[in-house]
Amino acid sequence: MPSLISSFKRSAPQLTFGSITLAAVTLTCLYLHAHFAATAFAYLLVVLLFSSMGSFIASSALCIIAIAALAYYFAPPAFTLRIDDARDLLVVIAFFIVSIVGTYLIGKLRQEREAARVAAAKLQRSAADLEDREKRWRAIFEHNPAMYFMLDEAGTVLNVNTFGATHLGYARAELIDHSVVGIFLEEDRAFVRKCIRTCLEDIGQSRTWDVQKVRKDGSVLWVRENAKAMLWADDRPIVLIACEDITERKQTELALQRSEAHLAQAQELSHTGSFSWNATTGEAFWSKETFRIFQLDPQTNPAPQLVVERTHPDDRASVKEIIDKAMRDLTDFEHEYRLLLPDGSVKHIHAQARATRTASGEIEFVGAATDITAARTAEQQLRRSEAYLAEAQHLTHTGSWSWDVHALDFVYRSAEVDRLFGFNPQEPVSIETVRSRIHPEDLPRLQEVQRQAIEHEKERFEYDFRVLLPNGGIRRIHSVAHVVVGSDGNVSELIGTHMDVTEQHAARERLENTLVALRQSEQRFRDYAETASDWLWETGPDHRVTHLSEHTSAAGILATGLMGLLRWDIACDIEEEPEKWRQHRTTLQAHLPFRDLVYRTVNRTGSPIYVRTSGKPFFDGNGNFMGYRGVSTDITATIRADQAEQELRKAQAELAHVTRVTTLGELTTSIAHEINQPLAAILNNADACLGWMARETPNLAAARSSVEWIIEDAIRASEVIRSVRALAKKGEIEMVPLDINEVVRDVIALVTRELVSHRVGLRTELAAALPRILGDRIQLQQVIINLVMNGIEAMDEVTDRPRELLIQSSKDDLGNVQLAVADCGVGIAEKDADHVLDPFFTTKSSGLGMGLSICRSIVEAHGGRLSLLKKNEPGATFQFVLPVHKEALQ
Amino acid sequence: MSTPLISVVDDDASVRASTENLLKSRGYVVQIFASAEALLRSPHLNETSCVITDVQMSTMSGLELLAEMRTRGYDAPFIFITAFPNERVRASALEAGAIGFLAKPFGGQALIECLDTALKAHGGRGDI
Repeated sequence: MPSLISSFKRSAPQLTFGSITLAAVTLTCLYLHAHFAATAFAYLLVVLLFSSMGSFIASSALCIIAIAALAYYFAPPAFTLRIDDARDLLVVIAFFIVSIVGTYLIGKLRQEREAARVAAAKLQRSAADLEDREKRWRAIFEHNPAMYFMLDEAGTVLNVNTFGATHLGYARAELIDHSVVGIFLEEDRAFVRKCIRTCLEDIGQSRTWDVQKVRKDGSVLWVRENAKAMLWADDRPIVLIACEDITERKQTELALQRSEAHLAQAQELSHTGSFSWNATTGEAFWSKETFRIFQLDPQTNPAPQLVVERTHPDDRASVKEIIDKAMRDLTDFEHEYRLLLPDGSVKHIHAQARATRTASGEIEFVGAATDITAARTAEQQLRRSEAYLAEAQHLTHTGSWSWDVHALDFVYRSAEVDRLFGFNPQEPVSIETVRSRIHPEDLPRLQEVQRQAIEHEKERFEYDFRVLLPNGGIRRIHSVAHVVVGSDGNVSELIGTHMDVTEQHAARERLENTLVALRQSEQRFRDYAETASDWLWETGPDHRVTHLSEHTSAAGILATGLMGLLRWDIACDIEEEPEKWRQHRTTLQAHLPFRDLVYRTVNRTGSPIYVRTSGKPFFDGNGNFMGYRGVSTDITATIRADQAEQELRKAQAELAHVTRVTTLGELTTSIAHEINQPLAAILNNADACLGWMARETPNLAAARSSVEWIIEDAIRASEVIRSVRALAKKGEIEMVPLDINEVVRDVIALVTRELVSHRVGLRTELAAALPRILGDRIQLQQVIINLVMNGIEAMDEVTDRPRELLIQSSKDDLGNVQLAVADCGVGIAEKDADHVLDPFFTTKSSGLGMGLSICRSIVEAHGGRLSLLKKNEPGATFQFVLPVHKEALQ
Repeated sequence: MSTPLISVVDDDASVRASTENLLKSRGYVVQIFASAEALLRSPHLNETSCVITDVQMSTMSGLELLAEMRTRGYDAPFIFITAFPNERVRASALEAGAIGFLAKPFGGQALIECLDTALKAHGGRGDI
């Protein structure tokens, strides 16, 4: 375009001035009527002249104009463009050819001349430029803050820039023509040579490496070298090296690398991954640890969606919600959630992110995700083990505590401790309140124990105290504790446990009580045994004596040297009573208990003694026979007493007989009366019988009745005689079951007349259905007769009131049968009351005074008791009580 | 003339019954009493022609009965029978006006004779 414009700029004046010249020539020629050929020649001159001005086109245009003018003005016919004359036409053609060729040649000439001029100017300019550029390059080479080296194949420095030399502390001359490896560390030189060689092998190819250089002063700097080998003009290869001091960058880089490594390590160690996410671009970055935590390939393109996918289904909704909210509001967020990993394991994650604004003004989340699984697991385990501990403490009623001896307060107190003190573990309790719960009697001792423990730095100490519960109850605590010595060598803490031993205490008390009871019981049985016997013995499985324990009260009876002997070795009556001993040995062999075996032996002084012994076999836990244990009593005295009693009883029986006979004597009149009555009736009836028979018409029925009555009365008479004979009989005592009321009726038969003759009214109150007693009919009759006769006699002097005798049978509270004979006579004087039953005591002028005494003997021989009852009414009441016959009871 | 009524008083049932039996076999009309008081309470007391009574009885003796009868104005003859014969009692009985005093046991005939005597002594009323 510029050439076009310049060409136009040149053509325009050429064309204008050429046209004007042509017009002038035309006018001139016209005016002169110049020849056509001359005119053409003139035109040719003009065109050639103006063609020297430059433009070929303008020249061509002037040529065309000239031809047109020739044809129009000068070629006949004039004023038309038609040329009829062939010669003219030849002239025009020749004009055209000459003008074009001339124009072209002139233009060409002018162009070449112009080109030569331009080339000369350019050459001149380029020489100046070269010089200028060289100057500039040299300045750049010299002053660019980079070190430039130029080496030959051998590594010799061909050139170095001033900056390079200066930076290394050298003058250029000191480096040039020296091997370049001299400015490298010894250990790097091989590397440098290799790098140069590599460059030379591949000429034109740039190489870059980082290496350290040594300054003249020995200090080291990091450089990045860009090297390239090239061929010098003479085809000699040279190596150009540009060095950049990257010491600072290297240090920064190293520091960065180190800090990155630290960070990565820290992330790995802390299981914390970092991440960032650009909310605008969606660009995300995850650290290696983040990928590891999420168990994702580090090549994966990180995105928030991955987090949601990895999240445990249970937490997914909340995580998604938090992330969505953060993205929406562009705010910080922090949350915890679980991951469900492909291997099925679960991880706990704590993630935290901050919304920051980048340099370009975009919102970016930067955060960290920490794998807190271990902590969470540990926390759970801790919580579980704490729960277990609390449960264990609760179950065992054991609380643990720690006491700060300086602060005088608990450092730690388990919930169970509070419970033991009756506090609600949820509520804070002051130390004073705790102390107030300790029994005031126990507090000083407790404090003293702790004080001593602190003073002597006791490894372990124990104490007991009581806790006063709010409900008034008492809890017993057993405490075990030890001291903790602090870094200063002094006791800093007491650590211990409180155990609720209330139940154990109660159990121990019960046990102690039981033991006391057991001891008492043992003593009681020992007392029983000692009371009931004179010594205790034990024999072994072979029935030989293994143990003898004489009671103090009976000490000295046993002969010495009895240990190891058999019972039948000790006894002296084997020959006299072989059957007894045979039976005894059978019993022992059968391991059966025996009772009241009486045998004779000798005592320590050699005197014969009677021993009564009872024994019981005993067995071990497996039921094996171990021997016998038993008691023995010296019954020598009893046996002698028995013999004496038998004598006495005999005498008593005789005495009783004598008294009976005496009584009979006293009763003679009555007995006669008793016999006379039936006899009188018999006689009456016999006479009546005769009378009935002797009638004109004998009344046989009446006669028969009369005879029957005779028989009845005869029987009655014989009964009386039998009773009298029985009383008079000196017979054996015959103990049989008896109805006391029958005995009373027998007696009444004998004493009726006595009552009548003494004008004594008899009243009987005999209880029905009395149990039978075991006794001798005659002896009991004797007793009752005696009491009745005494009563009758006692009322002889009574004239002012009816004489009444009461015989009363009844049953006492214990079920014994009792019989009372009461009179309303003179009674017994107070002073005589205690002696009235004694032998030979009498208030009568006649009589031996044996009656009541014999009665008492008889009653007592029946196991009963005769007594004088005291009463307010006049008279005396004697009563005897007899035990009920055992068989009758059943 | 009406048959004389004989009253028998004895606390011994068999003696009482046998005496009644004897007298009835001889054709007498007899009423019996277990005690003196029973006779005294009897509505037929004034019809009694003769009283045969035991001497010793628990509350009121035969002698006391006699005395009481006389006090009340009855003069029926008395025959005493006793199992405890002694002279003192016999003497007091006879002294009190008894017709007879028999010791048990006695023959029936003796009683009849004594009764006959008594009835005769008691006048016309003693006839059978």
